[in-house]
Amino acid sequence: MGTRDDADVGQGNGTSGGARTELNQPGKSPALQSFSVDEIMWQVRAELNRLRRGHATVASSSSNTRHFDLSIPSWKPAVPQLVIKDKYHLSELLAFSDEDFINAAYRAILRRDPDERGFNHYLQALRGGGSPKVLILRDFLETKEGQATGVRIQGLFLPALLDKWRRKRFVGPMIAWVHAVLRLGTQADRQATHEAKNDQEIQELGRLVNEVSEHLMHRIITMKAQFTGQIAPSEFDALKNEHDSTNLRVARLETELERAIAESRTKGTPGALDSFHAAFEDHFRGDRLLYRARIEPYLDFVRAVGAGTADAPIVDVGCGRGDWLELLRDCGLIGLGIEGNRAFLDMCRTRGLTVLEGDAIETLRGMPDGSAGAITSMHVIERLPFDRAIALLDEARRVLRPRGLIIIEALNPENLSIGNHWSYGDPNRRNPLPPDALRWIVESRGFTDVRIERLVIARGRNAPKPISGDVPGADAINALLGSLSASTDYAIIGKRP
Amino acid sequence: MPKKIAIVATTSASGEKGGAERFYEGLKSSLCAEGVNAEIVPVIPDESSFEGILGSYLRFYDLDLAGFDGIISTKAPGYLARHPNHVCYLLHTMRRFYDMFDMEFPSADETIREQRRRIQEIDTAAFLSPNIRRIFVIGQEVRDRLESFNGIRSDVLYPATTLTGFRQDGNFDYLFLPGRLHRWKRVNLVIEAMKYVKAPIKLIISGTGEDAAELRALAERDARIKFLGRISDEDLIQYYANALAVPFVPCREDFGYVAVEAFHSGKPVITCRDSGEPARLTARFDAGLICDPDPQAVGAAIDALYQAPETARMLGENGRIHAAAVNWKNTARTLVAALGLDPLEERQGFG
Repeated sequence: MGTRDDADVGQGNGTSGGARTELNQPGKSPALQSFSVDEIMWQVRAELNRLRRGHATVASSSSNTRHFDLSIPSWKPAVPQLVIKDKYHLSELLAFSDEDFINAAYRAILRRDPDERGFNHYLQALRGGGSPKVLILRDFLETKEGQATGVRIQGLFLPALLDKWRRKRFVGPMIAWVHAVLRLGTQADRQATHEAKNDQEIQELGRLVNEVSEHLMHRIITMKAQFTGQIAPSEFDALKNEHDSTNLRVARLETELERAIAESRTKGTPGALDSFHAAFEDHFRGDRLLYRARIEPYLDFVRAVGAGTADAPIVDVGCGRGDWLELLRDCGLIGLGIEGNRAFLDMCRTRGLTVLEGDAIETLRGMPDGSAGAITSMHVIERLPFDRAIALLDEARRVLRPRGLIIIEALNPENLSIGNHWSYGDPNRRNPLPPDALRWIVESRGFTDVRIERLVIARGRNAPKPISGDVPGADAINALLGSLSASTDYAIIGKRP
Repeated sequence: MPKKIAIVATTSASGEKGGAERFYEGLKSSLCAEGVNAEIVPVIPDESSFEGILGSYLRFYDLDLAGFDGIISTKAPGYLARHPNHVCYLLHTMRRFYDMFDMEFPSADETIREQRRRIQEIDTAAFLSPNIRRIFVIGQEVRDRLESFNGIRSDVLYPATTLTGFRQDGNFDYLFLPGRLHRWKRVNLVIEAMKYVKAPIKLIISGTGEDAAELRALAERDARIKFLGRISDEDLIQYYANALAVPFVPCREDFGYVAVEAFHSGKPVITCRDSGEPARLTARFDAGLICDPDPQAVGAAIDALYQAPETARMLGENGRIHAAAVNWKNTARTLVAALGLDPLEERQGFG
């Protein structure tokens, strides 16, 4: 999951310079991507506005959505955008001020953008302080158009009623007196006018800021367009060709460099056969996904002892191409590899895995006591001389924390075709170790709860099926066949006391 | 407080449920299982005209997602959505302006070519936006397209199926082909292949779609071919369970849940070289037969599997083993980690 298939990546990437542009549409190249997404979307919005201008009105062009797509700073009212619904609370609409309020009232109650005359009329009324917001809302609701939409505003009735009556000749003064006690009389009127003025000023300042922003945006886009236009297509092609040939040259030099490095390595250096061993194992270990399925059962074992945290990581000795480390990482567990083969190290590092370079035992020696939650080692022990194998187990016991887990996987010679045939396949392998022997060895080096796990998941076994019991000699034949279908790998699992 | 993640989704006005809808549901529930609060934010795009398409682009661009800690965009033009913590998990861009252009507009004029240029330009610019932290795609097919058309690199992250309860105990009786009846799925290729099939085997087709009538007409004279129309998930699993093979031969398919469901059911997939991700997965898993996109070749593959049911079983089993390794959990974890909302993140300080 989530990993690239390297075989396929190779096809796509090796020739990235040339192959990619061939597939490309004429004139289309990421190098030519001179406009940012904000600039492009600004143009798209302008274009759509032009297309829809037929039914556009005054208000929509000065609406407060414009500030939205400028990548340069712009002014934005603190009030959130108006949501269209059937029922509002008065405070939601009162939050808007000046022009925004008139726009909001039209959209909320009449469900349309304002016409120019109405807009100016109400704006004057509002700015003059003659008609407060509640009365304008009331007016809107009472129009035929307003009643047709059926929008309701909660909490409007009482304030609007008070405001209306205050303006009537006889009842008015009395209401106004009551009202004045609450709102400190004419001072309140002056305050309202003052607020309306303030609102107007803020709106105008905001609009000015936005106009400047728009102007700047327009300038930027025009300049970019001019700039792009200045490179003639032929010139561009020439540049591109040059770029492509430079790429090719670099690629060739890289290959040569790699070859030179590889050659210098083969000349007697310790890593001389690294790539050979890596390729060999890669070929025979099999498909990565399948291999992942095979090692998945180990996840439960390491989880059970709480290994894989930052203070108790899982150390994989001889981690090879890093399949197990990758599985750990994908499952949120922390693993650390030890690997001496450079080719494998490179593979692991391209996959972003943490791997220490060096000899298995020497590297373990450098690690503090009790610092690992689990130590795993797959198909390594059969490659070590006996005294090194013992040293590996001893170091592992020291590095493990108490109750820490050791898992050692090896080919299972109980399976005849493994014992007689496959275990000789890898020139690095010494001799196969029978499960019981290895279990005894591990136990003798001071591990407890040592057991043998015979693994069968995702291992294709091509053994013939047992023959039916009524055939003469079936028992003997089936016993022989059974040893062909025994599990191909086993693991010794133990704990540090 | 669990972190809030928006899955920016496109949805069809008709409410038709296809692979994408299943994908959204699977993504949502697996993200929630990782301890975040994921929510699908559906927008109905207008693709009826180019003006409508541009309007849709603008609608996604203007989407107010300020209430979320992170967003995951999925399909064109969802990646236009603006959010400072944005990870793209791309299903596909608008294919008619990309790899399907020649098929959809065989005699494209300058206007349509210009439209294609603009859509690709907007897409590329959107993918380059610094707010997009990472771009994942559902398969190699989409990754290659994104690289060749837009010059954008991305990482493959496989989604899983949300269907459960696949069975492998059934018989191997007939060919089963579920899915949307749309020309890009090339169901016609399988119907035409039946003319060359010598084996007495039925072809059962389920699903609905815009090209249903044409396909029925094409199959009219062949009594072995049966259309089921829309079927329930239980029936779907049942039909998979008893199939001999699943002939799924789409054109450069992005992911192809049909193939994955066939793998889970232990059925071999017959697919074509140019079928995109299904062909790639079938080859990698060794889980079926891959042939030329030609009725005679598909017919030969069907006959071959009919004559070798044990091989069919083995190929199916290969697919089942591999598909089992793909699950939503890892996909969700990767996405949550890419958004920097992983509760385990502080543990990564080791080494």
